[in-house]
Amino acid sequence: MTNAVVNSDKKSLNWVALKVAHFCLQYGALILVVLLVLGIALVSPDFLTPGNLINVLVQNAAIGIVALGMTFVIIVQGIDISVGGNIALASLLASIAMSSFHLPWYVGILIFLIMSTLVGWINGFSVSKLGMTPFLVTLATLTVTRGLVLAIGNGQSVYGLPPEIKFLGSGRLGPVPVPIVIMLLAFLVGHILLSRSVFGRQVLAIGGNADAARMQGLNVNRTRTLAYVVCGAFVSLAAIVLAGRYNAAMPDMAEGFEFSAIAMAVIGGTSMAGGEGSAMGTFVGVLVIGLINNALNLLGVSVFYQGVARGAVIFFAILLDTLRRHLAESEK
Amino acid sequence: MTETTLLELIGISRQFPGVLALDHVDFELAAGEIHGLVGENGAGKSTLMNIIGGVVLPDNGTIRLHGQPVEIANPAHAHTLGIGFIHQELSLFPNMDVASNIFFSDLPQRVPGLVDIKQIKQKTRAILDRMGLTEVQPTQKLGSLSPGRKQLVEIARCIAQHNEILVLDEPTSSLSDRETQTLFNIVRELKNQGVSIIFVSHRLDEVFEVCDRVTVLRDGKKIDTVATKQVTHQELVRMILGHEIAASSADVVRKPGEVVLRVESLSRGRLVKNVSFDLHRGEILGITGLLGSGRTELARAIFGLDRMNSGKVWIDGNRVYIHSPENAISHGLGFITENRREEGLLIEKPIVDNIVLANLRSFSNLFGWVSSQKERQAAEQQKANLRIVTPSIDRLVKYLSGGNQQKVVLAKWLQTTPRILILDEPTRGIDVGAKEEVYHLIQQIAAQGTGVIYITSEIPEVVRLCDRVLVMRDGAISTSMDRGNFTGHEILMAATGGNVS
Repeated sequence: MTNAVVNSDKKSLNWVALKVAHFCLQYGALILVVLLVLGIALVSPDFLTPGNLINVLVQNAAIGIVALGMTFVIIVQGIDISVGGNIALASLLASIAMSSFHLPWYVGILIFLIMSTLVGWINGFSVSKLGMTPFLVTLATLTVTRGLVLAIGNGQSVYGLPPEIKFLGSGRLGPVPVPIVIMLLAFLVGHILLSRSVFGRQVLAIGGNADAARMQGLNVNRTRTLAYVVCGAFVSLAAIVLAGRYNAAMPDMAEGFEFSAIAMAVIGGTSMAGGEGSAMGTFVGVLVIGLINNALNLLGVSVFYQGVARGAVIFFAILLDTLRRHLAESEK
Repeated sequence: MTETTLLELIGISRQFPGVLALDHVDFELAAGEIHGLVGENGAGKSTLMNIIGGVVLPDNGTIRLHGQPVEIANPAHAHTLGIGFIHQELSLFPNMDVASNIFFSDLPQRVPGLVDIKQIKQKTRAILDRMGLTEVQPTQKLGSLSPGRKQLVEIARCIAQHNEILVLDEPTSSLSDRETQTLFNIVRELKNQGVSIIFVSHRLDEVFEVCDRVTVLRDGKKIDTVATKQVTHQELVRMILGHEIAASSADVVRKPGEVVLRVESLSRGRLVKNVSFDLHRGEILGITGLLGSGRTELARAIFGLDRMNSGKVWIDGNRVYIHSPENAISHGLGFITENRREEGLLIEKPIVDNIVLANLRSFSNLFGWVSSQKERQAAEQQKANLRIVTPSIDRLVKYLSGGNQQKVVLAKWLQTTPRILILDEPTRGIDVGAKEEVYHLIQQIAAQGTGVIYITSEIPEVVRLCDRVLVMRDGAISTSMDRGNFTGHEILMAATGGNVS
């Protein structure tokens, strides 16, 4: 009898520790944002100015939207490392259409949309219907899209986009830069999709237990493909913002986006094992990486060391993900 | 066929490679009855259920639902026919909330495409209350519930889907006593509403408690369908086992020696509770019990695969603290797991590599180079000893039959001559002839002085092979019997919770 009492005491202590750990891991990213803001503000007086904070959001609008798309794909136990090449290819084709063939801006936008969702569909189809490994499929599409950009554009950039596109990348709505508005709208749509829509439940279900989803009559292949298509659609939005900001399509644009976007999603609570992730979380992840990059610049850290710092952040993001998963395991 | 017949299976057969899983089986389910389905492992219960659930198609035979012939093409189709199937492996979404789990296939929507959060919560609350699960919240994440609660949520889903037929596969294996009672209450209530329930269970006491009729399968054939009121526990056991199996004379004479392994008060999680036993040199100790009785978990804890919560272990009289498989091996333990393809073998590698793997060091020289001549000699020798049927020791293991694969696994451990060898379901998926050879090998290993722990759910194996048997039930050892003092009948009674009279 006494044994049982001791056991339950021990259990409740463990339970408290578990809850604390759980809280830290759950809201770790948010706590990190607060600490980052306070810490950087102490060291760098330029940091907490409206101008700088708006700057952080503008600079991270495109990659943030990519991270949102990535969240959908990671939830269905996938990954999309083709996003950078996808952006470059869509931008190049749309820019050629608009600047060389003088097609109107809305046709350009259509090209952005069609190209990126097409690449997303190819990724999704290969993963779900052909059963290929997400990492390798998207590595292939990354290589192909980057190669196509160099081949079609002859390694050159295409400059001079219509003012409407430039407006989307660098214009202002009153005091607010347009890219921020686009990013916030994208995250609002992403949030509704993931937390409120039937499609969102289906995406989460596939990540949680694909066999069960199939048993319940869900067309798992189609929904999984759709997750990649949705990612492609968000990527096209990011491409528009990015091209508009540069007023150009460049062969090396969006380089390294894939891994930053993955890091943002994971820091925001998306599980690489699938089934977990939210738009709000990813938004926090975008802030974490964006603020760290900004701080490194403000503090005058050399570009070479910035790479090291970014790598370290990604390392800890994955560590966080692993710890979260261990915790979930131990609760079973 | 009676007037109330809801589902009828006539002359159903299904062949799997090497096994006739079902042989012209008839099965009839009346409206509003609870129908038990019992039989030993491999009797054909799962195949029959899987046919009803649309997971497996029959080779021939007819299925009638409401008197109309139907073909249940896939699980989704079974679902639309009103057949709910609750598997042993839960088909739930641990990452989502309880409400989404229950209404996943029919999410309430006011705006098309968007989930009506208010309505889904209310509907879930109503179902949970009706089931007496007042403490469970609709918004609670499913993964945070106990295994028993999860199972009940799965049943809630079947209620929400208004199924006419509910197939429950070993539904109580993860439930506590209280949860089992809750389940039974729900099942009875469903029955009163006209739902028909197929209740598959090894626990005969539960079959007697909740079922109206019971169908017994043995070796793919239907033995009989009887009303539970008109049959006794003993009679049912006899129907399940068929003739009484006699202990055959041991082929190799052994004499158990001194204690090689002593386990005292071992506990691990929910499934192993305060287990103590001794294992002697040269002894084959059977451990049996139903699925979920803690057999495998006990072995895993001893071998250091899972950390034990409490308990002491001695090997050859010395207290040992085993915290990893590597550690266990260095103490002279061997473990052959039930998933030989996943854990016990490198199936993409040749036989020779597999045989020497567990003992690479003894084939290597001073510099750590492995001598391929030595290892080939050893592998050839083992191949001959164990009568592994293969043209060459260079053949990849994946091309061997199940029986020969198991022999390769045994060869691997024979190399290391362990002090203690734990075997978990070593003859699963092996044909009868190869089984005999595997038994013979195990007896040889024991005759060399190794203490063997033989975990199995097949009672005839215990009778055939073991010197002593421990029967586990709900994580504890319910009975220990010596050879000569047990029969298959008594073991099954002890494992299923019947009283041995």
